[in-house]
Order: sequence, then structure tokens, then C-alpha cells
Amino acid sequence: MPEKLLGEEEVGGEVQREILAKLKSLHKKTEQVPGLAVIAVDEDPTSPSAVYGEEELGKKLGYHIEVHRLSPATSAGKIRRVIRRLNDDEKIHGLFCRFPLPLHLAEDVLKAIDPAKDVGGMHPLNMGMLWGGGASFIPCSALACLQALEFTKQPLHGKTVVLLGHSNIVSRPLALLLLQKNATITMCPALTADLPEICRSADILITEIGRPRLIKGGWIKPGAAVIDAGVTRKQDGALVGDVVLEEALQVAEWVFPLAAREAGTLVLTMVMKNTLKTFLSKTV
Amino acid sequence: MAAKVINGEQIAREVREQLKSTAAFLKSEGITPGLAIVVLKSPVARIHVARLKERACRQLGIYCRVHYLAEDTTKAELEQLLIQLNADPKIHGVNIHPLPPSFDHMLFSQLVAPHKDIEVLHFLNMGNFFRGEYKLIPYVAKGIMRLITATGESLAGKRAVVVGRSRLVGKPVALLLLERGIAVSICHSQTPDLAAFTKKADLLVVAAGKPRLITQKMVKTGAIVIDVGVNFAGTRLVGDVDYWDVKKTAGWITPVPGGVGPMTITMLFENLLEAVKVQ
Repeated sequence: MPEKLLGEEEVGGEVQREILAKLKSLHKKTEQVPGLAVIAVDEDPTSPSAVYGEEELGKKLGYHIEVHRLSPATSAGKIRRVIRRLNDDEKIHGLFCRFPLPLHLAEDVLKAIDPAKDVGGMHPLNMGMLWGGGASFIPCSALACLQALEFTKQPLHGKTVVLLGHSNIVSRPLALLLLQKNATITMCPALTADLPEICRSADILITEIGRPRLIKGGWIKPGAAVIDAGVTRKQDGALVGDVVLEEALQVAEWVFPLAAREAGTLVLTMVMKNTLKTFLSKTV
Repeated sequence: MAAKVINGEQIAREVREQLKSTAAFLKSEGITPGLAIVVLKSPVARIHVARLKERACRQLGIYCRVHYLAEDTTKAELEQLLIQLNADPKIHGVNIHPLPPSFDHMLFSQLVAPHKDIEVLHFLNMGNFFRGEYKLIPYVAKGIMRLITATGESLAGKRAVVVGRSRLVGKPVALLLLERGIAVSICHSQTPDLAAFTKKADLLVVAAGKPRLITQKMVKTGAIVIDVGVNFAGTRLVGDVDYWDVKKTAGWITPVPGGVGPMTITMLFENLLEAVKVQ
């Protein structure tokens, strides 16, 4: 069985090429470019959230990028004012918040973003539309996982998918998306006794549980696709995923370690893709 | 040993007693909970259910007003009524009965003020539920959880399987079980080998809309089986579970009728009282 390690550059690269082609075809009609504003609430500029690279990726794609850095001591009222201004700014087509946000600010920030510019897909209204079946922005981390699955070109119809974890940015939206594609879903919120057995039943195994190297080769069905969105920071600062990668590569057909490598390139690419969507609806 | 029966009628009666005292308490505080039911006359409108709800409201001490709209009601008129109800201080919750096919039900549900949306059909309420804020819970799912709790069985370490992926039953039940820390599978009509899943379930919730889909050999011995199905076989009401067959080996089972059904309306009233508290 040919094993394959999927990289973010590979999957993201495909999406980025699509975005560039689309913009090129538009170039004759308009001088405007897609605008993305990023809200970053962090005090340590060397923290991993600071290496997201919105500016670099934006430059590569020809976007207008604004990064608004705020200290965690900023009041909720001040943040809401910043967001409101960006909501009204015609140059800005998408508004995205880096995660994680300080807990005491998260709700205020999420709900202040105009749902029509919520390219991270985190506003309750967008989540409700995803749930209810309306068109909406899909949480960008879930979208990144879906993009990786689509990159492998395997059919999802009738497949057995196991999701470890139940966050509202990865597992929950992915469950909805994959149900729409007629996969059968099993969600495991926590460590259950028969976890290895449940994992072995999966044609597609997606984990975000945050338990370093929990999933051994023997837990994986031969030929399965594995997405490792789990991420734990070790004491030496290195990031480690939920899957024992070297073992998984022996068994699985595809392995995609999403979070444990260069954090977030693909997620950010999906944010750019969503921004393009609003840009197109505004300008064309 | 034959399965024990989960008596939905009786459990619903108990819940209604609690609701009655909550309503009485609210009244003593000067608030009479108010429900508006919108019935646009058509073959799908379930007018008789509106009458049942009206009667139940009287028993519970809830103010209930049914708006019967003529068959030729326009979309603008329906919209106007919903806007009025949103502003009506006597009304705390709005329940729209099934609309004729030319009306997009979801669209009209978005016109109900989120704090009066006791059916949890507004995208904002769905989104909050989905994100794990359990202020208002889709009421059919809520009733199912009550029936499961009523068995007194511990769910720790158990596996649950939900058959059906609707946004009113299958998906919300799965989320609520997940919240309790249980591994849940969601199966549906496109699941290639349904029995392979259902046989592993300690808890099986079936909302597939297919009469007698689930037979004894598909069910684990001792499992809790909740049948949400409402199908007509001729004039008889049957569930999605072959009741007499599955009853032989399951641990607990809900009958149809008399299982999930009676809980459903009761939970709508419970959501109404929750909405009053929020308002």
C-alpha cells in the first residue's frame, strides 16, 4: 500500500493556486483587492500565534492585510469598537481572530464580528446556519481538514469516520460536513475503554484530543486516512500530535499532521479562500 | 428476559406536574407564561395537535393563543403576524405548525425573535446550541434525554448509536450524548452496514422514519432502545423499531405510541417556561 504523508504546503498550495487564478481573471475588471483584517490578542510577539504569517501569505496572494494587535489587558468595549470599525470598513472583506483568545474576551470578540465578514466561521449565526443547512462560512480549521480529505480524492460517501474530540471548531463542524457527504460518523468525546477498537473501525480517523502520541499504529485500519489535528506543546517547546506518526505511516494510506507542524498555514489559506468569497460577492 | 418499558405517558405526566408548579410560581411573581401557536390551514397543519396543546396549556396554567390563518394567507401576512408576536408582551414563545410546501419554514423561523424561538429553529439559537451553550435545547431531543435518564441506567463508558441525522432529532441527540461523555455514532440511510453499528450500541436511538427498520438481531442484548419513529402501517401507528421482536432481548424500550410522543409536547412547554425565565 502506498503510504503518503500529506503536507500543508501541498494541500494549501493547491487552494492558493486556485485563488491566484481567480484573482488574475478578475484583474481586468477591478483594481480592488480582497482585504483581510486579523485581530491578534497576544502580549508575546514570539508566541506561536505570532508566526501565523498572514502578511506573507497575503502578499503572495495579493491581498490587503491588516493585523491589529491588542494586549490581553484591552477591555471588551475597546475590542468591540475596533471590530465595529472594521465591520464598516469597505476595504475589509474578511475579519478573522487568531486563536486561542483569552477566555474572558472570546465571546465578545466572536459575537461582535459581522457574520457576513466572519471568514473564520466562528460566529454563532454562521454555526447555526451550518447546523441548519443554510449557506455560511464554515469554521476554518474544519474546512482545512475537509480540504485535506478532498485533496486525497477519496470518496466520502458511505465511509466510516471516527472523530476524537468534540470542539466546536474542528470535530463538531466536521461531523456535520461529513454527514452531508453521506459518511457515517462516530464521535468520541473522551478516552473510552474501547477507543482502540473504535479507531480501528475508521476509514477516516480524525483526532484533536490533545494526547501526545496516543494513537498507535495498531489502532489504525490498514489503508485508512488519518488527520492529526491534535497539538500539545512539550516542555522543550516542540509541538507533538496525537498520532505516533512513524507507526501511522506504516499502516495508513494517508497521514496529515495538521497542527504539529508549521502551525496553521492551511487554516490560514482557508481563511483567505473565505475572504475571496465575500470579496467576489461585493465586487462582481 | 423481556425489556422493561419506558413509559413516556407517565414520565410526561410527572414533568407536567413540575411545569405546573413552575407556572404557578411565575404567576405569583406576576408573569403568566404565554404561548402563541401559528396554524396556517393546510393538510399538513396538524390542527388537532394545536387543540391538544391548547387544552394542555389550560391544565398547566399557561396562556395559549392559537392563530388560525386561512388557506389563502400570503407570505407578507404571515410575516406581519410574526412581527406582531415578537412585540407582544403577553407572548413568551412562538410555535409555528408545519406550513404548506410553498412556504419555506426555515425562512419564517428566522423571523421569530431568538428569545421567543422555543422550537430552537433560529440560526442563532441553533448555533449557540451547537457551540455547547445549552440555554434552549431542541425539544424532541430534550424529551429523549429525559426518557433515557428515567431508566436510571448509568451511561458511563457506554456506546450510543443514533439512526437518523435530522437537525431536530438525530444530530441534537448525538450532541447531548456527547456532552455526557459518551461515544456516539450517527448512522443514516447511506450507512452501508447499519447492523454492524446498532449491534454495538448500549443505547440505541432510532429516528429514521422507516417502519420496523430495527429488528431483534440488530440490537445488543440489554440495550436501551428509544424509538422516535412515527409511521402509519395502514391505520396503525408503528415505530421504526419492531417493538415485540426487539422487546424480547433489549433492556429497555419505548413503545409507539406512548414513548417519545407524549414527551415531545411537554418539552415544548418546558422550553416556553425556560424562555420566560430568560426574558
